Amino acid sequence: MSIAEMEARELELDPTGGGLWHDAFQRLRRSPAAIVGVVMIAILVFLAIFAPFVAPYSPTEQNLDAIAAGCCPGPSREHLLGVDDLGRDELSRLIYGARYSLLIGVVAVTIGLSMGLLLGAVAGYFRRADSPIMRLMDIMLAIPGFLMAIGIVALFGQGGLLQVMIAIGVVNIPIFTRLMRGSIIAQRDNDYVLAARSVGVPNRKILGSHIVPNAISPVIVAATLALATAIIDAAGLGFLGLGPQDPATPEWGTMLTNTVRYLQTAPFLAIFPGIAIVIAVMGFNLIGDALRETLDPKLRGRT
Amino acid sequence: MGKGLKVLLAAVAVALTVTAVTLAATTRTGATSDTLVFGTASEPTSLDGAVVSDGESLRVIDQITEGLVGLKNGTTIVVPKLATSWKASSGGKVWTFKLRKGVSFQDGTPFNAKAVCANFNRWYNFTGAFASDSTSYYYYTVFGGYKKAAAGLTNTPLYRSCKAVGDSTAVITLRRPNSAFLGALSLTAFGMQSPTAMAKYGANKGTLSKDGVFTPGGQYGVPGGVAVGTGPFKLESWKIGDKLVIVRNDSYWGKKAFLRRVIFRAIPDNAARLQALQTGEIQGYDLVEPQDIPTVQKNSNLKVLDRPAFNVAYVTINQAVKPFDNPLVRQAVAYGLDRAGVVKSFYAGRGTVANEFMPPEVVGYSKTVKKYPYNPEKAKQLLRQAGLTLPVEVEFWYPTDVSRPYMPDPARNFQAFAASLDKSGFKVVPKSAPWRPDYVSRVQAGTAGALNLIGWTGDFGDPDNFIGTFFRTKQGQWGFNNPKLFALLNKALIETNLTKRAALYRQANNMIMSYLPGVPYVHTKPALAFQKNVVGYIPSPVSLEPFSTVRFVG
Amino acid sequence: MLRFAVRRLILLVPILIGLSLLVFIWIRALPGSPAQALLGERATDESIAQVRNQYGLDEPLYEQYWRYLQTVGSGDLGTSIASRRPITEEIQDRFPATVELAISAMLFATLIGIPLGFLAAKRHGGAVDHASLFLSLIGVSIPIFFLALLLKWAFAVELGWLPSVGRQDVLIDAEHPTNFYVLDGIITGNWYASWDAIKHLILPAIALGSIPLAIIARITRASVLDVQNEDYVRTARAKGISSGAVDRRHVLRNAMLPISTIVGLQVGLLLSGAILTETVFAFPGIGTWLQMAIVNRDYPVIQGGVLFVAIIVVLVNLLVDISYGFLNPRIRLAGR
Repeated sequence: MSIAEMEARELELDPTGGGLWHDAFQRLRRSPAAIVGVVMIAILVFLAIFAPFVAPYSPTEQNLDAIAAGCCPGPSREHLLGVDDLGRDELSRLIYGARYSLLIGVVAVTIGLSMGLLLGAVAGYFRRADSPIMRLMDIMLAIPGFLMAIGIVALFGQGGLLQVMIAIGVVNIPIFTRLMRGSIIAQRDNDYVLAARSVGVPNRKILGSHIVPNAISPVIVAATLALATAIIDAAGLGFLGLGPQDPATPEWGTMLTNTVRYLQTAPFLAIFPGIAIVIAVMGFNLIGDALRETLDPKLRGRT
Repeated sequence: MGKGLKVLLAAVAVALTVTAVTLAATTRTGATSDTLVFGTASEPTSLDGAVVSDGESLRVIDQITEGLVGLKNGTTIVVPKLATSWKASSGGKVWTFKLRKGVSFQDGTPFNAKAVCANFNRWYNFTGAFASDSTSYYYYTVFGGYKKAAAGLTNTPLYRSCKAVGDSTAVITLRRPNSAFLGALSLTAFGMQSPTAMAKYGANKGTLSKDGVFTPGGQYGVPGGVAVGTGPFKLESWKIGDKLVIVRNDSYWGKKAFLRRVIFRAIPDNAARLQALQTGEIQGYDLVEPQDIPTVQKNSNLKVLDRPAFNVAYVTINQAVKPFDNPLVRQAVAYGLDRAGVVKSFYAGRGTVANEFMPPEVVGYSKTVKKYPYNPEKAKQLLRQAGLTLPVEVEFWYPTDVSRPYMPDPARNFQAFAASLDKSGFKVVPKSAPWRPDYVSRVQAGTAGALNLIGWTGDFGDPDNFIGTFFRTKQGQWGFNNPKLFALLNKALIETNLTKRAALYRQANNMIMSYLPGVPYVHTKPALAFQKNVVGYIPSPVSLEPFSTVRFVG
Repeated sequence: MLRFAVRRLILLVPILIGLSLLVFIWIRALPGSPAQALLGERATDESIAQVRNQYGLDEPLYEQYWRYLQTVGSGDLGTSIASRRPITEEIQDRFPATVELAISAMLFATLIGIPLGFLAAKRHGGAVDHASLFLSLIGVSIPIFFLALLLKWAFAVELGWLPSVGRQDVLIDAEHPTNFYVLDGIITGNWYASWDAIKHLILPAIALGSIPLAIIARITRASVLDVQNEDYVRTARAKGISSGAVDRRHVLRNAMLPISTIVGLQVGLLLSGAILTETVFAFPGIGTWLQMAIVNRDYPVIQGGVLFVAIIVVLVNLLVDISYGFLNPRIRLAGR
């Protein structure tokens, strides 16, 4: 089970209705943690989008002469964060790397989210589909998530960005399936659903216009937190060498793998990408936590 | 806060402090002066020399068994070992070996001509799971076949028979002369093993298991089993995931070992091996990565030993892939690889740019081969001349999960070469696979793109072990058929006159570098690292390094 | 209660069958056929056909699956291609290592996490609270392999306080009747061996325990805050019972319920983390073994090892559910 799953379980204990959005936004604005989180992610998104304008060098331009004397020259005026084992500017690589980590995170979570919501909605609403779908989820949860991700990448024969996204996405499916199903079961027998059904509104429409919107807030929290774990897992796969086929890709996890061997001579090469990952993950965690607190009625009386 | 909880917290705090202090105060277990712990990259696969080909198995077996001939320490010069002298007759087909007297195997079995013949006949008579080029790799490579042809392999056995004349003369008859034969006998794979022990512990029992894996059926050479030779050390114990221990053979016929025990401990991660050396958990390890060498040199407790360069790293060009059958395109590849830059920046002064497929120390090295310095413009011009539109797309493969002496960080070499090829009119499509089981077999089968990174470490000091292995026959890896080259190399193989032979190999090297089946780029001096108080370890070009000469000082 | 446990056990059967089917299909979906993996790329068509026939790979899939179930059922998991050893033997070597590591990690996480969360709740909004929140934020945000590398670099390489790799110093002549090295030292009376095994466990356990630590601290804090506001706690305090006694008798005891479930639910998380932790510390456990098997396509190991691990996860989750039933009277009574 991943952290996202753990946290999703916490959310499951207490599926809440919607209708808190306005209030939630107001409260978010007053939460310093949320603001810090949003700022961190905003900066990363900015760097990712405008990388070509922000980065001082190309992320792939090599300079073998720069490392002829040994790997690797540390921070200097020309290279604020030093150069890597092929003489490439570390800062520029980190800036471009934001693109990959954010992209992998968002796509992976989108895959898990859409599949999970679909399965969860079906399982929750159609009693006959419930048991088979949930048993399948139990089976998936029995295999440690990261191991399953490695296994899925192996199915493709070789690593790669798309492979990593799909693998992490699939691992995330059970989280959202369980969450969605729980929310829906909690609402299935609510008065308004019964009322809608009694006047002959078709199933699909009840799901789409009544149940899902009301079940969505814990899903949003879980998705934000799943983004954080997706980025960690992607880095982990990159670290094991299952990341992008082209080793020149400035993906943070892959950057860590290739520099672990310089931990003694140039520890900064491992530390900087590590910190970058921590910042991205922390940003999403802060936002997710703040969202949860604002959306959870039980916690609303406090602070 | 509750009192009970306070007490609990205080207890935890005290416990943590005590732990920390004790940890800081506990001194590490240093090595005792008669035990050396050596860090290896992996566990051996077996201790039966006849069925292994990996360096970590050979390293251990080499301490336990000895061949008829050996190599002078630190060189590739053949010297007497279990045979004291030998003589070739009948045009190089009959070899008479005079054996060392008074030698016994570690299990007490006397070493004599019968034992020699038992070993040779065992290899020749391999069947089933043993008779395969993956199980008995070295035997098949050197001797070319078994008594009974194995399925799917060409069978041209070199060996005919072995005759014991009295106790101390063994006569080995070959089917044809072969000038690489004597040198090859120095290979660990041809070490003499006790026939009694092999029979008792079922060395020839081996099955394809239910899963089709070759599994030794008996207790010979396996973890928890036995392996018996005549060498200066004998096997004490081997437990996978823990350690392999060899102890001094006190009844060894020659100079006895200084150390009482040598422990081999597998630490797969290179950086972890360096750290284990720094923390004193091991006293030495092989294949220090170039970037770690300064770290070792700076540490006053450690030292670096050089192993002479006896390898070559190269880029394969597969001519089965169009348009690489065109010599102009192959030349463009050679001009488009920044070999000097890679060697200068990645090998920490331990590599020299390779201009042919064998190191300069080997007989037959040519000083007049065609050279291809880095020249992107020339590469582009050659590609246009070949009638191609730039950029020319090329699939280029590199291995993952591996570090070789000639290629410590394949991904790094790959990235530099890919960048320089991209500047030279090519467009590289990167592809990778794990070294085992995919990469090596893909390269050999010719399914690893048009270009791929690979290399070779010599097993013994003979040119045939380099360019003969590569180019004497048609191979999937290269995808070409060049009868002229094949004929020349086969002629050189059976030539017994050393001067003529050297000339033939020089001619072959010139021919190869004009034909350009691939682009060699570096010969490296691999490094070993030891604690400073370890002396007497003599690096050998072919990695046959006895631990019997090693001892501690101070 | 018994009925509850039995019902859970029966539910396990379809999951186990599904698992074996999933692993079976997965193996066959991996690129490159098993026959080819066994023979290498140079295999001729005839030899592939021969191997396929020999191992029944040319039979219909359902028959292969049935045969696979039978062999697994008889406890035979096959032989590893890489090490040429029986898989059951490898599991006996490696599983205890990972269990030892996981237990140490959980010990670390609970010993630090529960007091930390408790303190944070008691000093709600204070400095300790903020520190613990920040710590648990870091804990869930730092990649486990990055933390492992930092710990190893600092405490093993730079300071040299702790060993950097493996489970035990090779120079120690220790016997391993159970393969749980700490326990082995105690059984055989070799205290030094136990102590050495513990030293090898400290850094990996801290790295692996960082995430559960963060989660446990967080949950403890939340549930203590919850319980504190319950009527019975207020009543107890109002009655003048000393605050220590209230904490012990009511707050902690009731807060333990969610905490213990969460602790139990982390087996999967620990096993995922173990893959990376074991890689960094060259710790010969089950995580690296499986990862290498997948990378090297050691089919028999993937087949047997993944199934074994999954069964362990399922069983532990079942135990947690049952013990949760025992702890929680509502479920206990409902089961009657």
